[in-house]
Amino acid sequence: MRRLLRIFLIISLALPCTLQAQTLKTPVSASDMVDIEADRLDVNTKSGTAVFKGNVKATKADIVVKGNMLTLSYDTATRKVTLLTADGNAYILWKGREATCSKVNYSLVKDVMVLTGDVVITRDQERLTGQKVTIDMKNDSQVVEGGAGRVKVRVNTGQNTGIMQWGK
Amino acid sequence: MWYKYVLVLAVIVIIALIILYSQNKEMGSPLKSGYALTRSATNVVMFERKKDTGKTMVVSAKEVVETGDQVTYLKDFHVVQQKGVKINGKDAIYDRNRSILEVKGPVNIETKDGSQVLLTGFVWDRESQKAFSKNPVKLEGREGIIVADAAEFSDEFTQIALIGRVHAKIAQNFLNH
Repeated sequence: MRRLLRIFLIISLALPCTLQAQTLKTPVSASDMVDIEADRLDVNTKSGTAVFKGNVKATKADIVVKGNMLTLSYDTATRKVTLLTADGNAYILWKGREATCSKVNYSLVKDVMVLTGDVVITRDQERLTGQKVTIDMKNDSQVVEGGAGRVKVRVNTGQNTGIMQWGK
Repeated sequence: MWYKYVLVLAVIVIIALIILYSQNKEMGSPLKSGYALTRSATNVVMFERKKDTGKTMVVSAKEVVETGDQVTYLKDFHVVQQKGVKINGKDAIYDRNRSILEVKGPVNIETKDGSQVLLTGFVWDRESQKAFSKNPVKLEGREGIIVADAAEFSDEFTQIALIGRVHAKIAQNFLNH
């Protein structure tokens, strides 16, 4: 029995060390992490691009970006990811809002997201359409451009904060 | 009495002819393809220099077995390409005729930019500069991990394609080394 206890003690001391070795070497806060799932990834170390293809889903904190293709561009000097681009049937979910469009450019440096091509943003019953929407994630502000068409907004007047944050 | 000397001389001549004949036969007959001369060595370091590019490659191994059919078996080996990749593995077979390196078991590839690729077995066609693995692959950076079902490498390992169930968990400066 004593022998068994000794073995158990050794295992319980060794196990956390082993598990720790398998985790990431440098602790990174969850908000800085980008989680991406796809069918294929092409990395070109010369041009500094990583292209995810097929049913791509990227999650960064509470922001979810989906699309047929997602490109990560990184600064070849600093080797830091600077831009995230989603192409083809792009879908974005952030702060309770959902958006669909043709293309999304998300600057990780400026924390600014630019949605282009038949943009539709919805939040509950509210709906906003345009050709280009620029969202400043830091200041929580949006600029909507109609392009050739017109900007259309349907708001729920009963709410204090809506799709355009008019209540703020 | 003289016939005894003649008999001894005749025997000597016959023996000499037999020896000469057998030597000629050995020198003149080419090695059959199935005939594999084998040589082995331990703690070997091999250098290779490409004629066209002048790039060198150093292969070191704890044990090397070379057969007559241009096949080299490597155990506990390291491959270091000049300004290129570093490959560490347990067992490999190098077919010199086809310039194909087949690595078995766990293998670690360090690319030119410092990324670590962990694979279980892979095939490298040195002629076409393409390599692939049909087994699960893990790409490790200092602050993130990408896993997939298979991998393909080309253009001296500067282009990496991860195929099937790609899952990346990366920090913004994942590629920063």
